[in-house]
Amino acid sequence: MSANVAFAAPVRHPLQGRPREALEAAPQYPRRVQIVTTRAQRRARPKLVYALGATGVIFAIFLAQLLITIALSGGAYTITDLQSSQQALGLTASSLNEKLETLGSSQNLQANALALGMVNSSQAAFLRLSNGSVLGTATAAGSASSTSAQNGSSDSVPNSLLTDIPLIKSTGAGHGDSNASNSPTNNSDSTQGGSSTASTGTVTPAAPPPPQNGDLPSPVTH
Amino acid sequence: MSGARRTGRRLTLTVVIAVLVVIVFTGRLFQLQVVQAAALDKVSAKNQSTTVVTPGIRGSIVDTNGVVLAQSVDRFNVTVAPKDFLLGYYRVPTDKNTFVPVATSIAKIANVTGLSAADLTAIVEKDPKSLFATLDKNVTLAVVGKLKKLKIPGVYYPAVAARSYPNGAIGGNLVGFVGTDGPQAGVEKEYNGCLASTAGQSTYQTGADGVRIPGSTVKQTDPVNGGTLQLTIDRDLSYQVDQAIIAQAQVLNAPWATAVVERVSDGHLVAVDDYPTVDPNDPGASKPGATGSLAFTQQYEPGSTFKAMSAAALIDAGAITPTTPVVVPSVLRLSNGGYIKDSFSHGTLHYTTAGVLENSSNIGISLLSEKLPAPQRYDYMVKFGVGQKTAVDFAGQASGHLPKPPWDVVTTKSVEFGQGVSATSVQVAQIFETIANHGVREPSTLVEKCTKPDGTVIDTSTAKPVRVVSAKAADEVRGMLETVVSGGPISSLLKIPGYRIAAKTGTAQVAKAHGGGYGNDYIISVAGMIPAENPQYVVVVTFGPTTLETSAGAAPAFKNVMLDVIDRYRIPPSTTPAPYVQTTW
Repeated sequence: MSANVAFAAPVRHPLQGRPREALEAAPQYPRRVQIVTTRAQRRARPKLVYALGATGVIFAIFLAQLLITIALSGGAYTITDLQSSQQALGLTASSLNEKLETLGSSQNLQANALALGMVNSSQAAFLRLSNGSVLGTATAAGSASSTSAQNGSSDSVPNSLLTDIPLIKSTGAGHGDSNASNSPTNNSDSTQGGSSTASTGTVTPAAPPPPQNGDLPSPVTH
Repeated sequence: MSGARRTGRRLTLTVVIAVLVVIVFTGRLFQLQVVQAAALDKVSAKNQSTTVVTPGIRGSIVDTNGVVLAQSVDRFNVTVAPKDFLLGYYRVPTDKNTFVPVATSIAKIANVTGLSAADLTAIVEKDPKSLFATLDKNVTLAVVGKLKKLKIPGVYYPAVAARSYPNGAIGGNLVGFVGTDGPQAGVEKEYNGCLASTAGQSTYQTGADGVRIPGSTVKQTDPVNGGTLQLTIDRDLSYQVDQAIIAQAQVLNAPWATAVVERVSDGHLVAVDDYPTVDPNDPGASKPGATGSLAFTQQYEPGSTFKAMSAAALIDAGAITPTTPVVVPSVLRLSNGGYIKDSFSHGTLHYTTAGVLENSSNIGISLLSEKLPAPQRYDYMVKFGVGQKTAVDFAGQASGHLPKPPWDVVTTKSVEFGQGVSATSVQVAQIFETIANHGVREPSTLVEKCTKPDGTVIDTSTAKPVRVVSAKAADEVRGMLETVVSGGPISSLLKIPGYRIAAKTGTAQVAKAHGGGYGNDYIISVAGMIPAENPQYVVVVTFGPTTLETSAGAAPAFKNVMLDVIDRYRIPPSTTPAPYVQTTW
């Protein structure tokens, strides 16, 4: 089926069934007439830009999904990190709280108070703020505690949590000794002060307490 | 045309092969997706999902002011896998020169934990193939921090629940403790329902690195923490009271002592202290048998403190008045040949009811009790709570023993002065609370409430107050009891300047262990209330068997406890003197 045969007579459909080169090899036809595609046909023809656009969008979606996934799993790592740090901080908080409770125990407070030279008063006396009267017999505590705390070595009501907790020492290592020698002096001073109060301070009120209006009584200063 | 045929055959072959492949693949797919689906799903879920059990936190026990008496704390075990641990490790994995032998690691761990390296080596080498060995138990976060700084790989610190009692032995007898098998004593055990927690569980899917896959299905049950149990105990007062009785118990060489401080208005026990004490942090160090609360569990013949109750019953029934005269002979002979004596020798005395109480005359109260039949006296004692457990739920609580009438000739008299009948310290406190509270017995309360984590409050006390005697009878007895402190034999030991106190002493003979009457040991006690004109607190101190036959031994502790109560609750001095009560005629 060769196309290299020349024909003199025009055919009805010269292009039908023939390859293009056959036509080009027939220069005797002037190319004046061309078949024009209709507008609809032109429209229907796929355009490259659309293909590129669609592919681009698909890739963009893929990329976005990838980024979102990365962000999400990054978030998961952050959550894990934060959760573990939250747990660690929680543990620290509760261990500090535990220490606080132990330091705040009566045994520890009393042992420290005694170490500072504080003594328990043997007699309860109260100052009524509304009229300044002293209720009860205000006697100074002796150099040793006279109530229960005299035997207040914490051995009697033990607290094994305190075995490793030392008493609070006065700050400044170099002055430790002088502080220690000072405190008995202070102590005796306060004792004297206390006894003078005792000699004058005994008031047994017979009348019911006058009403306390508003603030506590305080000296007026200018 | 042979070429076309060949092409056709090839095509057929291809199609056949393709169909076969499709059939095989479909079959496999069917097998995986339908036949094995359930089993595979299970395996996959198991491999991907992680179940985390979140333990709930056991609730705290706090005192009436919210001070923590018992709390859950975080402790950690130190564990290794001996199989890997024994190999040692390379500090820099790529550098063979940085090899650290296991001995070095063990020495470092021993240094931090304070355990001996030999012991640790023994633990690790006990089973060298094992994947799990515990080097140390219950270490604190601080120790874990130090261990982590050693950067020894393959050491793990699983958290374990532990219990801490920041105030040690204060209230230790009441609080109890938690052992490895759960709560062992005290309210820890009794109120476990309030305190116990429920563990939660969450299941989610994890990637190969153990990190949760975002958005994976989660099944979660939240842990439920235990409730907070609030006691009526006041930690600060309790500590002072404890020291007061311990000091005196050591002076008296008494094997045990109890002190109870009860608030009159509502029956709240603000201090219930025991000697010997128990430190719940270290219950093993306490004396055997000291882990309960003696104030609840130790029943004893209370002695003369019961006379206050006897007098209240007799007055309420209209049998006597505070001024009823009694002729008290030196000895009261009984029809069975026995006799009743007083603790002091005397001739014939002319006491009023008040005088009988002031001087604690056994003969006097015996004679007065003849004015009321035994069944009625028994009923009064029951109403005062004798012979029944108190409203407090406490493990091992004793009910005391009150024999039922008909009473024999001795018992019908002796129950009136607290012999032949037994009670606990808390029951004695209850009797005095009733007298102080104008004849109404408020149920003794040790537990204020249980607050669940969601805020629900479970009120644990449901008991109702009981009217035992008339207000008039109770107040008259209170007035008579004031004479014990103002003019009784040991008033000098009980008096607190500026304050009016009503009290009654008790010196009870202890029955011999194997019967055969009473021995030479005495249980001494003082029970009283302050301030006498309007009682707010009842105090009972009791000292276990001593050879001292006078409640003077208990008086100093009673006075100290009273001072502590005054100090703690800011009780102002009395403003009016005690009214005169006729004691003799």
